[in-house]
Amino acid sequence: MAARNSAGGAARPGGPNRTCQFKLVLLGESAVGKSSLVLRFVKGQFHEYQESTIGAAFLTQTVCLDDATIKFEIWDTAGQERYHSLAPMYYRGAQAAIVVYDITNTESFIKAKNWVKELQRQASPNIVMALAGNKADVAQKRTVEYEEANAYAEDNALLFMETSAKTSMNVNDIFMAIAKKLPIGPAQGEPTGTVDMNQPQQQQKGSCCK
Amino acid sequence: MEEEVPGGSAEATDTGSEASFKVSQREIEDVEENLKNAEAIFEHLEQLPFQVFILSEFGKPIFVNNDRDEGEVVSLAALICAFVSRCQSWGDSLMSMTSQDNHIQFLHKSPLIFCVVSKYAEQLDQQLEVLFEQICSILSKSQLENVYKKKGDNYDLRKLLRGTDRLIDSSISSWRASPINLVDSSISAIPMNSSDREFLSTTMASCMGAAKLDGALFGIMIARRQIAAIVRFKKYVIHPRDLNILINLVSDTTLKTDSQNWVPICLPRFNDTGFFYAYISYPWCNKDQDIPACLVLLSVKRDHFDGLKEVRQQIVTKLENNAKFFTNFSQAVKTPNLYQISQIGSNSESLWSFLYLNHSSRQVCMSASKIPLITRTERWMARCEMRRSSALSTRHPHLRTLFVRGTKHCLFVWVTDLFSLYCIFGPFVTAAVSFQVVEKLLKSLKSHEQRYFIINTTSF
Repeated sequence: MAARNSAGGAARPGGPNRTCQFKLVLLGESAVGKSSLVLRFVKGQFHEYQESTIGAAFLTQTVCLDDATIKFEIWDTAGQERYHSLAPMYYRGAQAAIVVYDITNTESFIKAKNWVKELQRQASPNIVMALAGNKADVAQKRTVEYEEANAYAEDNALLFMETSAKTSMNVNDIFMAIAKKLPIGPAQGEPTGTVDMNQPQQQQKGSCCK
Repeated sequence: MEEEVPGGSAEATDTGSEASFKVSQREIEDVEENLKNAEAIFEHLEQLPFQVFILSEFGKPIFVNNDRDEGEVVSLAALICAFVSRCQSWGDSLMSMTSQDNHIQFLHKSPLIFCVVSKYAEQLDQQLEVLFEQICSILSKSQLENVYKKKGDNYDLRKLLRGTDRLIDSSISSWRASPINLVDSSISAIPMNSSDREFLSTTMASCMGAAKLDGALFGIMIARRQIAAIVRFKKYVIHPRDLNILINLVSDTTLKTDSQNWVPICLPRFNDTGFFYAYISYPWCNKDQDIPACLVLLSVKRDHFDGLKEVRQQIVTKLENNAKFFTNFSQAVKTPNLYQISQIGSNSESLWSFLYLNHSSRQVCMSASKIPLITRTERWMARCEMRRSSALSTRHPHLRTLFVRGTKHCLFVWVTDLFSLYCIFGPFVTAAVSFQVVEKLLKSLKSHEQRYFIINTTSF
């Protein structure tokens, strides 16, 4: 756990804050905008024609809270049916999950509910779960009402926001909201393989110049 | 031939018999007729070289290249299905149909039917096989066979293949780009100094070996659809066809970013019932640098991501720390240095282009473009010539050497058990002169073989 203080490197200069790493997974039907949300959050970009993800992509992004720096290790999974059986590999050991649906696609909301159920059964009991109703920029084509999704989220104790990767509405907010709910501090954080992994990497940089 | 064959350990030595020196030379008599035909072929090829259909054996369309109207596709699929099943009911199988300028090839691999309608006839059967393996790589053969049993004959496989159209599309377009690579199941190495390639391989092998990940079998560095290095666990071998599936996968634009990817992929020549998990990263494609090299680490274990991520980091650090290597490597990947024909000396002016395929290592070396085969059209013409002669030598296995004099250029083909060589010469060479040049070329390739071929696959 000592590695936490040295990892990341994005801590505010002069700040006394800790750096914590958390694993976050995005789940949801294909074409709801998981990759677009991640791309907006990590790089601030948006592609109108985002190609579908192959397998799963792993990215990192660091956010700063008042008293800590949080490094998200993000698994952006592919939503296609054929990849479904691989999902446990990504959400097992994850401290946070964003389940995404498309507000213009009722089917994707049903799928999202199934993902929530699966996470409630199979994922870590302390997992912080958020529900994102994406494509809020095309609200005129909406088929999933805000109230309906919000009520569902409240019943299941999920964070909920309608987002738009295109306009960036609520994108950073939903990640920040998750960050704030994550257990910060060495005692509370669940040990993850990835935290320990950073240690040898850090040493490598110094010791490899032979 | 006295000298050794360039490009890999020979399994048998060339007999060097006098017979292989005999060159059959013939003049093309009806030049005008021939040119007209050739022009027509090229015109067709440029327009729409082929139309591919993939459907289920129950007649449901699964994939077509070139956007077509759904209704049209459905009726064409039904027609193809009817042809195939009719022949099957006779206890036979339909392979191909030919009309004046259309060649239609069928491949029935239960539960799928593949069909290509093409303006030219060469190696269509092989191309359909490649497509079948491409689909297997996404679903695995066993899953493909089971899905219709589980979900019924009317199941729409497109649901399961969703998002992979572009992989199938790029596999198809690579037929156009390369004269024989895919269909002849061969690969090519990106030209590199032999010491650099060795450093790359040993670094990759030592990092893979040190990680002691049980089930991590291969490490491959790919750049520009060519192989820079490949390392393997013990004696495991990866088939060039499987490598081409991987190359096709990693060339997908969504992977060419600074993210790291974890992709299940079936390599059907290795095992068509199981999946590999491919750790794919472009370590030097980010906002600071743009070196289009892709590191692929393959494991049979789905939970090896974290382990392989660490291996990747070690490989990258070691490579970057060797400044001399890293400069050369970036250069080799950014601006690949293909074989220059001028390397073989003064006689080489008459040689315009060549393609060499080593049969035992299944590696290809192609010459860099040279006047007068520079423009896209000119190079395409050369490729077509080579493709046709390669098909010719497949159809006539006894064919060893061939010299064809044309008005615009001459074609020289030499096929032995160990290699095939296709050369395009200027129109004024004689068979004897071209043979001398080719001998020099083989000597030169042999002396530079470490640069243009991967001779040793390092094990860990």
